[in-house]
Amino acid sequence: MKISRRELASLAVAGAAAAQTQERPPAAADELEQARRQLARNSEALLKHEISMAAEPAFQFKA
Amino acid sequence: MADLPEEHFFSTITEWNARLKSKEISALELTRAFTARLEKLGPRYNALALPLTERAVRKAKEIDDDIKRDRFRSPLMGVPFGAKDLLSLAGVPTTWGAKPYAGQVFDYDAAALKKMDKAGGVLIGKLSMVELAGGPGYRFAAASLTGPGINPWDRSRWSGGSSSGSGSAVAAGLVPWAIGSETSGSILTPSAFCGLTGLRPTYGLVSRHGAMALSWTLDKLGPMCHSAEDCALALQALAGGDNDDPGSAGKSFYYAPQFVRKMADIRVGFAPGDFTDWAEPEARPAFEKAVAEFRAMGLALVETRLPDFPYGPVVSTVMGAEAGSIFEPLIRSGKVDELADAKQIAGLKASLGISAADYLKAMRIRGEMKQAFRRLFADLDIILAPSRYGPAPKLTDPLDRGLGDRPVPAVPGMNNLIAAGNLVGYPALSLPCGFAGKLPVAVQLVGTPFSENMLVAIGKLYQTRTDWHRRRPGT
Repeated sequence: MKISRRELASLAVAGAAAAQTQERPPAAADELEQARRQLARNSEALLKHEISMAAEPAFQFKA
Repeated sequence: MADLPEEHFFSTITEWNARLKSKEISALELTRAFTARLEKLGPRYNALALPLTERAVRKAKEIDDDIKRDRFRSPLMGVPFGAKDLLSLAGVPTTWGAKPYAGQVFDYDAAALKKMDKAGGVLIGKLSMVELAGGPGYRFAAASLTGPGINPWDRSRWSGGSSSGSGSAVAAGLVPWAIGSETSGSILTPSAFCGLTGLRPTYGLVSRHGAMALSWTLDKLGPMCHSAEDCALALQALAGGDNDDPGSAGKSFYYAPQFVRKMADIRVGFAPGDFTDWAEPEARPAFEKAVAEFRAMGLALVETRLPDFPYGPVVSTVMGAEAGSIFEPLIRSGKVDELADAKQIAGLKASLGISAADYLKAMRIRGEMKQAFRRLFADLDIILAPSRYGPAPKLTDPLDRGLGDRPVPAVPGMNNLIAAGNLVGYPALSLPCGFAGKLPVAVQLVGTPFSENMLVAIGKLYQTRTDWHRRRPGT
């Protein structure tokens, strides 16, 4: 198969662009993903902590 | 700028009270001197959110009329002060340090400001803060509508957060004292980084009505001052029950200058590793001297450690879930994207995904923590630890890097004491205890609920034997 220099160049540019998109997602999305991962880690840490069924939350409802 | 000697701008409340009573200076002269200084130097430290000069001058004239008639309302009467810009003041902007709220104006005063007004305090300015008091977390010092809080001890360093402006302004002698707030470290941290004495009161002792809510079950207001005694005088005026604050403990605070308990009877828990392995190397000599000083004061130091709980995940879950609920309209409107710090934006957005199960689990663990702390303090009166393990970071440093390049020490330390103390609602006093290079470092004393008089008595004794609280930066 013959590929012209122009086609080769455009393939290379497209490939580089795709790689860049995969390696460096937009900063905001990355931050949000990191924040969600942190919440998941918190959740796991809470899950690991054994607690008595009798333990009530540390707030009071007052009528 | 009024011609007060430079060192006078660093006087304590007690000293100003004596000068006002003896009529050496009038409240108006004092107010004019501090307002001029705050307006001139406040921007240098990104400390000033809003000057309140005109209303301060009116208030000072009213105070002078009372002083002429020998009517003294409190030791704070006629003494200027600043307030973190999360406290509402009728008719002027209250920004919460955040761009989406830059034009926000309330039609009522926060309860804490009403109390100060009654005590005769002269509010001369709203002070800068980290946006939304830090929300569920932020990465950079620049997370503020007014830019990063600049430390008067070194302008390339951060003043700490989230009460950044309160820290810078008191340290630079722009106000004699200031009101800060703490959800998890926001009074202790800037007090430590700026060389101030800061008091985080027991949860519920100071009404938060009219203060921005970040976390209903964690938020507290407290004073940042030049001495332990000043903290007590300010707290006496600020504290008190308030039906408008559902978290109010319904208690007042009366400062007891003649604290009668013997120091030798006070049992102080500490973890030696906090002052060596956990502390940053340049801060260790100051911390070790502080421990030696507390021993020399006659306090009984005993080794202890915090009960084993996942403090970080619990405080993060509680704060995140409550902040997410409070700021849901901001998040859903998309205006959250106007905030300065990408981590704060992401944290708020993600917080809407915290499950009810996780929040309740965290709050149930918090209930167990309270019981464990009651047991711990059955054998202790206070805990002593570094307020922060090192001095203020550089303005450009990421703030979420933990110990940085240092490995986690093998010896036990109380690295979670700020989170733990806030989760159980215990009071804490941060005392400057020396320097790391040219930057201040501090220790904290944590006591049982409503033990502020004991914390202040120990702090006051420490400050009669040391002069770290008297040191001031060049401005």
